[in-house]
Amino acid sequence: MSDNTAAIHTALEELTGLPTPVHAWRVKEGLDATDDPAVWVWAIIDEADYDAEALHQVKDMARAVVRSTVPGLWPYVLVRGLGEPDPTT
Amino acid sequence: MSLHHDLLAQALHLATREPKKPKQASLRRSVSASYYAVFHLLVDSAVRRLVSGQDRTALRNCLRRGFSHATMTRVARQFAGGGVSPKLEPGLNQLRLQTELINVADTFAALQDHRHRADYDMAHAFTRIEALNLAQDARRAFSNWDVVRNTVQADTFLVGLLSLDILRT
Repeated sequence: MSDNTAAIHTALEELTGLPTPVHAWRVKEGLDATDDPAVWVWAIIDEADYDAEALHQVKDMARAVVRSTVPGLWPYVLVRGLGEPDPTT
Repeated sequence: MSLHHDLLAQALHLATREPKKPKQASLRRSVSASYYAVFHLLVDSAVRRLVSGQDRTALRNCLRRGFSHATMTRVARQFAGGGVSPKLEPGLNQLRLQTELINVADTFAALQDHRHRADYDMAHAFTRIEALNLAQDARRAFSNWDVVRNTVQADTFLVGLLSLDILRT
């Protein structure tokens, strides 16, 4: 895990007041389709808790965390279910 | 029903049509449809603002072909990140960008990258929740666009989407 990835992961873990539970965060750094430095963040949720409106807020919060933690990385935030494959393996 | 509304409906349908064991083909086409739904929403809005009139349909269709995905992504990132180009900034009349417009820009920029991976990156497998959530992001962008579509900030965004790279400083 790179320093950027670790810092973002820690900041996400410290998020409070989430409108819906996030079981875990997954973070991956790389280059996006335009070759710009980027980070992909997945909020791993229990599918039974799926609430589209609450997840919009979670994603907004995660994007803000990435932008404040490592300003040079463009944030892409996605959602996966607990029973779905781990995106970082 | 317009093309962009049909594409949004298609994105939602494809993300949920095989709930137990979704096919990658369905999920990838769903992600792509989410992107193109927002793409055509914005292009349609722009050409209708710039060229009005029932007898201008053919002209609007010509203009639709002038939009570049790369330019649109660049402008969307500027509006999403708050750093609007000096070539466009005067158009904002010193008004702040609305949260809804920032969301539309952010969603468009994100979906463009996801669409690229959906179409070309076979190493990344999409999941049902992922595709469904991206389609719902697109749906939220539609709602947010409805809120801001007649504002000067939205018009500045549309002008940028079409012409940022050909505007002289």
